[in-house]
Amino acid sequence: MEMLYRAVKWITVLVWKDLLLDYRNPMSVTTQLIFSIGAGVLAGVIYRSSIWPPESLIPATLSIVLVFQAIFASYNSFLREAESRTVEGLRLLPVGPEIVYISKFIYSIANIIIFTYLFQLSILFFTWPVRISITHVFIWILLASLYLGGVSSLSSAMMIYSRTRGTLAPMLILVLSIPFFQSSTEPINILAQGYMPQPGWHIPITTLGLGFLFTSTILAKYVLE
Amino acid sequence: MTSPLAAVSGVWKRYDSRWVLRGVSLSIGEGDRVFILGSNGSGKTTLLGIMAGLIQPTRGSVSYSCGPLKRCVGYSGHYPLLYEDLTVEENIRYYSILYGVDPGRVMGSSLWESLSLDNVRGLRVSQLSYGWRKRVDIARATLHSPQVLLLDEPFTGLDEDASKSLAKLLLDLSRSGVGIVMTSPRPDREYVELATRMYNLQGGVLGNAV
Repeated sequence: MEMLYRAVKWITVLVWKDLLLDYRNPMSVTTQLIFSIGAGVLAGVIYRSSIWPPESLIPATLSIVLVFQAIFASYNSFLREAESRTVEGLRLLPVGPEIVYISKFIYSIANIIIFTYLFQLSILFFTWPVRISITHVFIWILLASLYLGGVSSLSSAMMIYSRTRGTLAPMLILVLSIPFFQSSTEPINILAQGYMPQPGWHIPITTLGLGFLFTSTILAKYVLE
Repeated sequence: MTSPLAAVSGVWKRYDSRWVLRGVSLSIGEGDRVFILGSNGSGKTTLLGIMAGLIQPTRGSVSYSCGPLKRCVGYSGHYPLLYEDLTVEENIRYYSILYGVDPGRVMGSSLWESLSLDNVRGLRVSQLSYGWRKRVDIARATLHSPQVLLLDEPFTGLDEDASKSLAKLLLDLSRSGVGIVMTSPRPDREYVELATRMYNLQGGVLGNAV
């Protein structure tokens, strides 16, 4: 219990620091905000004009926006530490690489969820009333963020000593995201067509996300030590 | 004879095809003040990085008798490990909590006072000169009361007063039993006066300085 309390305290401090850094230097989050709202407005306009059928537009735009948010989140994660030469500070901490990694994961997942929700809300603003179940779409985004938060944090951690991290991290995120989108977009396709997915649709996505988090946390020990 | 706080045994380090360190051995005892002199690219920073556990040696090992490495060692590298958009106080508070130290105790310590850090407490690190950043980084490196202190060019960028304060501080720390390793490319007065042992690192080989 004592250990859990200490872990929560360390993670809180690490997340608080990232939050404060974004508050003091909001360039990156402003870019994310503009991207989310801009993409949402654009998708909403296309949706209303019926150029593209919504059943294919919604899954496609959501997937693209999620990947972009994961890329943005990776820049606010270990890559930012690499740019500011504070990675060594993290590696010297006695809290352990797993704690550092989980704190970055939490920050990344929060980042992805908030800005993808904003994107979705921007679409809704232009397309209301819509046929699809918003609650289910939001749950799908939440679960997709679990996987993509792990992908974003791991890719960011793996690239801290690479000189070409600015290019390689997005490529890695893209490659690691493909298995997820190949296997987990069916519920969103069904929702986009105005139907409800089968009960328990969220179980495989959750398992995939948690599995990736577990694996990447173990790998982080080797990447960061 | 008591066992040394830190023992570097036959450390070799290779980057690509270039050997930076060739069988370096060194032991740091309580109260030792070791100065390693070496030209740019001689491997001083690599040696300190290996001692701090930040770089893996190609061969050889480093062992500490004073506890787990991360609790036992304090490291201040060439680049201060501080967040530029946070204030000095926020940086120290952040590191203190993660090291399990009371931030109030750190900011009320004699070290804090001797480095005059109260003057810059509320300023963002980005607003500080290199010398002030260096002072704050030394405070960061020592906040968990390490038994071995590794300092890469600690006097670089410091003015006369700050150099004197730091020299006194390091002397006090070593008198309390802390083993200190300092590196520099120049045999400046501060290092020579402070050191109890001096070495010359050349071509990856550590030899006694003349």
